[in-house]
Amino acid sequence: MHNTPSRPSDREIIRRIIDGDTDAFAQILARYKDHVMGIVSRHVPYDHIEEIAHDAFIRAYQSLATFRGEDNLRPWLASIAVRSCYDFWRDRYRSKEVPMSSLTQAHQEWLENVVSDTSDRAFGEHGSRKEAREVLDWALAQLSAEDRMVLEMVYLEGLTVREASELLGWTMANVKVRSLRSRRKLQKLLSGPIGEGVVQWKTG
Amino acid sequence: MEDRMTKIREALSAAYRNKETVPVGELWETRVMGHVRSLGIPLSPAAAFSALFGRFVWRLAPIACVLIVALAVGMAHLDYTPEYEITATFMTDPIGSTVDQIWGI
Repeated sequence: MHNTPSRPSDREIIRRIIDGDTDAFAQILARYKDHVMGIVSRHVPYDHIEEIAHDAFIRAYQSLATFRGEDNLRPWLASIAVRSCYDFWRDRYRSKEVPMSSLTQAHQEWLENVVSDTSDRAFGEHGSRKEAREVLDWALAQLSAEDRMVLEMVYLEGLTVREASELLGWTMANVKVRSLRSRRKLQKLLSGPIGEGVVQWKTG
Repeated sequence: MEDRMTKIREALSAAYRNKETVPVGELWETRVMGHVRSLGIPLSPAAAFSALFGRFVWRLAPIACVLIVALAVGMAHLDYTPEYEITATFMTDPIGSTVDQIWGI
């Protein structure tokens, strides 16, 4: 009967890294890359996922000595990944690199289909459409980096205010206010297309 | 309006959850590990501060030495005697003298 080598704990790996074995970080990378990639992929454009996940792991490595949690790096890494995504959007908004595309006839039709759908059909079907993604990107591009992050986490992902505040490192009051404000902004943005046609549709 | 916004929220949430993720390749892991190795051992905030402080102090040390030498030379040339100056100030101070007289010193 073979004795399988026990999996080293996160705390043990961190101790080895701080003692000089930098290669031990590969184990943390292997253990949590999917978790971090999953978070980053929800917040940043496809082309930037690898870059931001890379940045998140480097930040985590540089802060390993400050890790004071229990034996699980998962929530700590999630927080670093979310803050890396927030910094990405802050830089993009600051350098005005966020594309402000306009909605097309296809998007209007998609919105009309969603609001007029009286069946109990799963909204996943609407959400899987290309237009859904584009409407979402268009709406999020109109918001600030702060409002964008809060809206994604609380309104779209369904996290609680407490969870979002812990991940972002903000106070709960700040997240609550931003959540309310960003939801109102989104409602105002979409009230045109689904209301009296306030938004001018770009045809063709 | 509220009902319509709820429907849109559901659809947008589904779109958000359906976002694609990048399959992580070995090349990406190699790049991250290469970067990690180039950074060296991660330091605790206290150690990082003392390393920074040490570098800063040693950089300022030659300037401090030059200043000390310059001040010493300057003082020697000025022939400044602090004890004499302080005594002279007390002796010529009218307020101090008045106080001395009041107390009968």
